[in-house]
Amino acid sequence: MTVVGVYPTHRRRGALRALMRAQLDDIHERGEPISALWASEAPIYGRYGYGLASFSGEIEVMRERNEFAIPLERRGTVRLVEADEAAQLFPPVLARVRRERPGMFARTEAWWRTRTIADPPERRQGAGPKRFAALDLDGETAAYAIYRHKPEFDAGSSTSPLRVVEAMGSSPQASAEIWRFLLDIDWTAKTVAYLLPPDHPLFFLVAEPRRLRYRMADALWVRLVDVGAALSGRTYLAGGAVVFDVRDAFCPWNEGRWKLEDGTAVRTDEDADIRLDAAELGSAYLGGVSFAELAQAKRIEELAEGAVARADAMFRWPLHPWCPEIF
Amino acid sequence: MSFEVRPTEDLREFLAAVESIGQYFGWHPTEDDPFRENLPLERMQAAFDDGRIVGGAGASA
Repeated sequence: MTVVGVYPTHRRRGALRALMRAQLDDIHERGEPISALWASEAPIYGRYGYGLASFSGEIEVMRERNEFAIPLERRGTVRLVEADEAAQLFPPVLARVRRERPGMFARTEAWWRTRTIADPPERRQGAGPKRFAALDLDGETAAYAIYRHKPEFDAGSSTSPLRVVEAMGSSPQASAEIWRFLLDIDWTAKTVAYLLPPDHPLFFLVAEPRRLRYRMADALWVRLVDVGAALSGRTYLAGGAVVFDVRDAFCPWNEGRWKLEDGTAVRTDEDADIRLDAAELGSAYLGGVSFAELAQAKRIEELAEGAVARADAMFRWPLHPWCPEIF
Repeated sequence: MSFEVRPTEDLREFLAAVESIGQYFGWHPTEDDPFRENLPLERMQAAFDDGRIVGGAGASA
């Protein structure tokens, strides 16, 4: 879901509710099991069944405090490429990253061209044009970075931030090498990057993680439009069974008890283990928010002892969800 | 108050619906806006009040 808004002349009259009704009905009719969005304001979307499913944040690290904890042995070569070549080289890298990380979506060719690679001056916010860097490692492009210089000076010395638009590596070595490249670019006073997940490798790569000045906020919000299809559609690291009693006032076709067993969800008459709203199921869906966290915040109700731990064992994922761009 | 809500049917409606959020970001969508290629007309819902677009919500899969 994207570009959701109401003109200021018509706020607080039900226009948003009518729009969400139309969109979620349409998504349901199309057979799309989940919907995800970035919320301009967090309180808006819970009432429509969206739950906070991931976090991300920005860093601002000064050049003189960006050393790695363990010196990096570089094996690859970074080269700057033009936009056309970037459009060819970068998508396979992201596709490999996406296989490991929940929360990323597949960009179409048009998305890459018009949003990721495109660089209209009005979107530069005072900085220079996008630069495209590709890391060649072991015979392939293993990482890339898109960044901008924003020249600033104080008494003749550079105070410039380097703005990282996106940096991805398809292996730990590749990720470390592309970040070392970014952190070492001359004539910058600091490196700024946005929308990084709280488990980004940088936290353990750098010697002083506090110096990253990480500031975290809510990121992706997820709504299970079709609970059965959504739960059956994801991968689980552990087997087991849990029965959810789902409350869903806005999409009542999801209401009732659902048994998730060994990766398949079906309706059931069995006693429920956990009672929760669709929004909370959306929060847990990507594996970045645990049922235990939701229980601690009184967002869900454990009806059978041990059910929360059992559900967490099933839904857990080794990496936090990461959506690297706001859409 | 009830609003008519339906998918946009042409570029003019599409841009007016996108502007419902664009204005808050200081953004005036134009014909060459990247959203045009990534968001089909039929997936951009618009809310109408007396024939005027007063809100929008899009989805792309």
